Amino acid sequence: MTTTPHVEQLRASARHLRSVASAIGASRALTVYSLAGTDTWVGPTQLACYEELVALRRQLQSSQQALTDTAHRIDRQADAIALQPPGLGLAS
Amino acid sequence: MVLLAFDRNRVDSLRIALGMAFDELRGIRSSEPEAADTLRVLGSACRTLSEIWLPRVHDVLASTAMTSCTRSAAGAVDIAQAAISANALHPGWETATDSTPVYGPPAPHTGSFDEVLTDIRSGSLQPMAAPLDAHGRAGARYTSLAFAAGTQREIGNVDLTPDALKFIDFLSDGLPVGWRETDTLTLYYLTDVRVTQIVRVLSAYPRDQGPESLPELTTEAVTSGYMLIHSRLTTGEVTMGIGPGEQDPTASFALASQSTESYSGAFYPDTPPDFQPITDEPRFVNPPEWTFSTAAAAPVDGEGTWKS
Repeated sequence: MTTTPHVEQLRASARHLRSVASAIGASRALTVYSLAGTDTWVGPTQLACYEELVALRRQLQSSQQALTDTAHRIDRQADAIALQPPGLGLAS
Repeated sequence: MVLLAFDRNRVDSLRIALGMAFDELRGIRSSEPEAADTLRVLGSACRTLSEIWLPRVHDVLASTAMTSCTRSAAGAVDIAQAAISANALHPGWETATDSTPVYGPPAPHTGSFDEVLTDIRSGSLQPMAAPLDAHGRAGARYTSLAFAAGTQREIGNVDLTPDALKFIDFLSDGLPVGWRETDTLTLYYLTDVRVTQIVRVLSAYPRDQGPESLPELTTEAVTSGYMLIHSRLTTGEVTMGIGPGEQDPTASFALASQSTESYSGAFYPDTPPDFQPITDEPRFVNPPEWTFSTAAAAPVDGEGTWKS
């Protein structure tokens, strides 16, 4: 495999991961907890629902951050490969 | 009875938002290996929304048990219920019986330590079916029962150590060689305990790792009930007095000490557990606190013997 396609492949992966992170960030799942408060309903079920939706938001945000970090790491990896002289013959 | 007060329009908005969130999360796809963990989180989130909260919110909206709330309906005894009543006094709010409350105080056990022991002795409380025994036959299947409690509450305990052993324990304080043994009977009430029935094959195995289990035959159930544990802690020690000449005979330094801890017990469920096959999906669960088999001596370190 030549260097250029490998770099392109890495950059495409990073772009894809960013798009997934972006889709998570735009999801209504991150804000739906605000509709489950005590101005909507009150009782044990409300409390459970609210807490679970807040926990779900935290998990999704954490995943979103992990994807962004991974994309950044892959981009740096692609940059490093692209900067190397072509004669080195990198293993893919 | 647990009440639920709600604003119908707002709950309907919540239902719509939950549905949209579910659709959006379900639509996120990726074949990148780096996104595998995220996809698992998304799958779990989708299940939480579609299998738990959408049906539950739908049930609230479809409830036919709605009543107009009056001050006397809930009573002033329960602060939580009073809050619900107060909210229901707002225009447009309704109350319904919450048929599937998931939070709130755990179901209280009804008996004291002595009462529960009496019920166990009289047979009013029936233990869970004992694990299957391999009867020492190599290659035969046997089962173990593992218990991981959601919430556990100690109801009481009693010291069963014989007086002779207590006397030996007392003497051990002043002797170079000591022996201490304590027997304790403890009763717990376990709420939402996860009971896993593990099927194993009797064969040679490293004692610290235990025998291999057969995951495809493993089943589990969630229930509540009483756990009666008889634990025994035995310590043997060799000690040496501190300092030369006359001294406090109890002030000594342990040269060597060896302890063994074992337990036996049984579980008395409120309702017979409904065992279902386990799924092979990765999940986070509490590690079991007690694991029993019917072998006279626990087959694995840290496991106990079923004794009802």
